[in-house]
Amino acid sequence: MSSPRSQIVAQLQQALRRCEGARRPHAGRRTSTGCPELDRLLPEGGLGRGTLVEWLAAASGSGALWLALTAAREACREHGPLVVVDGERTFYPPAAARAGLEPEELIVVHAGNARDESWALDQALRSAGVGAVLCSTRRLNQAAGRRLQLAAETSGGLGLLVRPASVRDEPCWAEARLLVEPLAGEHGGAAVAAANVSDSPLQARRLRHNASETVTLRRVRVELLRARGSLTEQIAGRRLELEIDDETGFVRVADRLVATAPRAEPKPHESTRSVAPHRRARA
Amino acid sequence: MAAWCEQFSPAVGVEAAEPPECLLLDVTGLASLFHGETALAEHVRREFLRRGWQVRIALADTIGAAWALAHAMTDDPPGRLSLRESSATFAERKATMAHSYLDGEALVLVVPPGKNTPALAPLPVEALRVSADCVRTLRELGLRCIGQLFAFPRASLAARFAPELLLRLDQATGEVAEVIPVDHPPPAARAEWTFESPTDRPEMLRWALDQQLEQLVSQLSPRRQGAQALQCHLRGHTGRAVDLSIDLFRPSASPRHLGELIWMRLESAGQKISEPIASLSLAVTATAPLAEHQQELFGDTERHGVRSLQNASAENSSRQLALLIDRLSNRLGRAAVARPRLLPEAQPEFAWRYEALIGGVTRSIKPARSKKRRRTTDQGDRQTVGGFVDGCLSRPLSLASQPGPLRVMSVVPDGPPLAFFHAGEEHRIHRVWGPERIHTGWWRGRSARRDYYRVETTAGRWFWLFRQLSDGRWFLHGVFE
Repeated sequence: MSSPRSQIVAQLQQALRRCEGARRPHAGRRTSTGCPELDRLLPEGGLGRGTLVEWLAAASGSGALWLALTAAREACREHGPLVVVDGERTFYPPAAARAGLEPEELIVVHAGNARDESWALDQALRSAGVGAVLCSTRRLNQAAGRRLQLAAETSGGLGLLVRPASVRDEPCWAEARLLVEPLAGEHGGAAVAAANVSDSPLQARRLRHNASETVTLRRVRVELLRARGSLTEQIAGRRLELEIDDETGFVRVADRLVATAPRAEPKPHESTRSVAPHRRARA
Repeated sequence: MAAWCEQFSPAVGVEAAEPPECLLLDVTGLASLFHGETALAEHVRREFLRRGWQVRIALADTIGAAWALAHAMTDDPPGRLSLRESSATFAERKATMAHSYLDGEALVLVVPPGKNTPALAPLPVEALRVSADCVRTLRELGLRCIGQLFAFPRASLAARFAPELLLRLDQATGEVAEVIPVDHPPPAARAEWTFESPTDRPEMLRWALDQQLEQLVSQLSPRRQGAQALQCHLRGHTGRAVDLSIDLFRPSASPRHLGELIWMRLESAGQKISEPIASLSLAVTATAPLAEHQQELFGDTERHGVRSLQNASAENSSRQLALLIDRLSNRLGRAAVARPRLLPEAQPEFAWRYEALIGGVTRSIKPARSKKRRRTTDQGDRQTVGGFVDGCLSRPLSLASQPGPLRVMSVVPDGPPLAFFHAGEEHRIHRVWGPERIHTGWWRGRSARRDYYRVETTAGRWFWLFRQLSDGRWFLHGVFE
């Protein structure tokens, strides 16, 4: 890319940010997501007040909601309760309590239809008494996205939307759009394949026991798809591999050494295709 | 009679039961006017006697205890009178012995502050204001007096009996606050407006509504009260009426906020109002003192400028929150806006309950007591077989309301799963944790015996499966979203 052109782009971006800053009284106030590296991935260096952040879940069971929930925790410590708009009535508060959100800090709103859901989101985002608003939804339309962003701007609230990855090509009004992909982990748990290979159940039990002694880590990859005021090329490839500690709930960057270490026992039912993409890139 | 009793106490209520058996008097802070509680009770008794009524008077820290004592005095019931006081106000008074004496017509019993629990212990379980069914169950189990119930851990009472029992027990001991349903509410504010000609123009209606709300609030404000519940009555020109009742999370004296709530309800009830409106009337049915103005008045802005600014902003945000809760509850229904409460239950689908924020027991945003509650042990049995750690990720954030049946492959019949099929997809399992065995009590009817497994598929997705031990079938119960 020629340098004059990129300079012009940078200048324009700065001017744009200034204009937007004037419109948004809460710009600059932010809270941490609980993971410094994840903070750095975000355009404002954290979760900015008066913004929306979208977490796209690559598949169900990917951990996107968990990441969003723990990210909201900090914001709620400082600014008030977390409003969970639970359209499908699947939110499970005991799990949230394990993630460090006390039930007293939660307000759960059940909205039956899509209209009510988007209205409740809008109201909650408009309220200055709310720490953060969390909603896992697949029925938000594009116009609603814009309205929610404006609602968050007026009150200085924080919206965390967990959406399916199928919306990744839709226009994005949020401050940032993150894609959360699940990754197969390495340690902890019973290595099923290993347990199967061994014929004796006793050995299988021992294997299982050994495996469970190590800390259980859940691995996810977070990629920044869009960030307000940045070109797609500029943020291309900004991704992180994170692991969530089962014991402490901490989110941290996955240890590369562990990730690239050869497996102790090659699993018979897995072929070479199971090599993780990042390792292929390094090879 | 309740009105007549107002000479003794400003807050007189008739018991909420059907038929009412008791008059409840709040005598908090009144004893000094009558030279002591005993004298007060004696005075009340004398006044009743003079009018030819027999009364049994019990004075205790809580409504529940006073009720129990008044009812337990004798078997044949004349009119009863329970007095209540809050122990906090009488903390400085020295504890006297319980006075109890009977002189033919009237019985008077005064329990000194703080002596509630010992006074309750010898009373029969009927004195707890629980249903006849509950009493029968208790009797069948050989539980005759309240003291025996105190000996049980709370959790086991909660699991084995109707929630009513714990509530009544807590109300008697003062764990749960109970308010005397005051029989004569302070003259509620009302306002009425009749249109010169019936109108169907929304802006006219809105204008009239706002005017009337201004009036209502101006009636309330000298008393420093805010509306806690509102009734709005609209009458069409043919006489068809629409009634709306509105409850608030926090008392409000803002015409704008009240107007917005009513308007929201009117819009959703739009189809019912099909004809021009002839008149509109508003009534405040419940009021409560406004809390937030006090801080503004007495906050010393000059000396602690920064702190009171913070106070002000905290106050503002809690007011904003109350407004939000009012709005949400008004449109989506009370039950739709709730706070979860964790319960000590092993069976995952019963491990919490939602409590509506409006009209619920607790109104504060952060009740301090619930922390203690959560530490109680789980009901039912939990064993972990496979070295399962009860970590942060041990429960899924998304729990299906009904566990969905699954086809699962595993090598040994009771071994961990290898792969499962769900929604047309095959999931091969990469890691598995468990089983976490969960048994629940037989007294709940159908007991649940399950082995839960947390599994990670080869794609890294996490699910929560269980095998029902009774028939070996597999279910998907939750997703670690």
